Amino acid sequence: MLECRDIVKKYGSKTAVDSISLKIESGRIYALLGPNGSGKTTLMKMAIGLVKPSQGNFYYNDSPIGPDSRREIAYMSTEPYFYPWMNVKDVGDYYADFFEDFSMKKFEKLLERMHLEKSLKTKSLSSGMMAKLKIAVTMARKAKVYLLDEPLNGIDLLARDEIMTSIIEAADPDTAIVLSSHLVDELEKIIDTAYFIKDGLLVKTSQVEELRITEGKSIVDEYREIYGQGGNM
Amino acid sequence: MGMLMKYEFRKTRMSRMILLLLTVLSEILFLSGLFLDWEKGMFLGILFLTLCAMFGLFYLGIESILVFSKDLNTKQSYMLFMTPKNSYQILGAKALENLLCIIAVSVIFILIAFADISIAAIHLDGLTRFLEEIKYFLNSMFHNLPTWQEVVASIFASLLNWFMTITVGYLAVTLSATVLAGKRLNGLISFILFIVILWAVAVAMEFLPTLPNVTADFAMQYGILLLFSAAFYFISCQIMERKLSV
Repeated sequence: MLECRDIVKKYGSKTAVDSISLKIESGRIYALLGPNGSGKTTLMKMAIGLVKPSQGNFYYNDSPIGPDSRREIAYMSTEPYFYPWMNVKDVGDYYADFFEDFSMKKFEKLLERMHLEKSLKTKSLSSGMMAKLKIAVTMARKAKVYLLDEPLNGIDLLARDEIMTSIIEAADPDTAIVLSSHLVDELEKIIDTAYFIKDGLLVKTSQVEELRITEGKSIVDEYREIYGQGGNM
Repeated sequence: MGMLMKYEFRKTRMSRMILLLLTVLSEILFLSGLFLDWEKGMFLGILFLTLCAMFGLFYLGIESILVFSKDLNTKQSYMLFMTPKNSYQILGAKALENLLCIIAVSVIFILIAFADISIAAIHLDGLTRFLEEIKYFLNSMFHNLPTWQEVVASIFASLLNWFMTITVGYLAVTLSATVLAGKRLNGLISFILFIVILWAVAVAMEFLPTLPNVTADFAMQYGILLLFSAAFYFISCQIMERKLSV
């Protein structure tokens, strides 16, 4: 469905992503795990075409990603990116204008769940409200792939539940969901596969269920082994 | 591309509303001066209307370049580049919306000028005498008085020239956000490139032959200016497609 082959991104002399190859298949939920600055965001931005790779490429259904693949891939950035003149309703209208798979009805339902008023100006939203709006507008699309960069960043516990519910609802056999986060324990409950990224390298791929059955370990344990003191991957 | 143009208009709506408001106030000042025999008010109205037309058209172009710069260099760039649109459509929408806006604003100011002259002529002892006085004044200033067709053609040539300048601005912003990104003195280098490209175009235009037929001469100028604009647009889009990371 979505894959990258030997993808590299360099910023001057710094290598942000170093020869990563991975595959995203439909019907599964993936996590890109790693501490801040490990290359998760750059990888996601290359998957949607916001960042041009220095080498290699991302492919969607065997074609290099481009404007057409963005019809079916929904991306949510960790940073706020809406135009400052917009209110919540304008954001929904904007998505409705550009994405055929956007459902205004679903957007309104998600706004209601997240207690967001349509008249609120985006520039006056708190970081928590902004995170909810980003999730609501992204998950209101019926995309084939969802790329969600740090959807739980800076969110209180109750809001996290609302966001996680919205993400889980989008999961179906035709859809792939990719979440990036350093809040591993929150993701453990819902993911199928974890990609561990360290210093721009893909250091390990773990199947959550398999790991639990064969090694009796959780993703959190794995994360501690890789990134904790003494982590030698 | 229509949707992109709609949002380009939304981004600059506020400044256009301000220009409209200032123009209306200046017009009210002019008409008050005219009908209340308040000479100072009338001349101030004419002065402000002229400034609105000149600086308005200038600002529309500059603002388009500034918005483009913001669209490439801030997080709001995601709003454009995560949509299923390519660089040709994104920059094309910006350029076309700006060109249409410049033409629309010019037409509005020409109509205002025409209406104001007519009203003033009727109010100040008849149209014929007023227009003859203007003609006499212009004849004493210029040896070969241009026809109104030539005046309109020259205004249109100036607008296309300004539009071409804006496309050079787009190219400079694109270079700054791509091949020059992260380099020292990035802004200064792209500004120097902007000036050098404009100078090169001006030099190239000097080499154009003057055609004996005025219509053909203007048509050639329009063609060359549009050709340059299209070239700068295509180069910018190519660079964006290959190099731009937002």
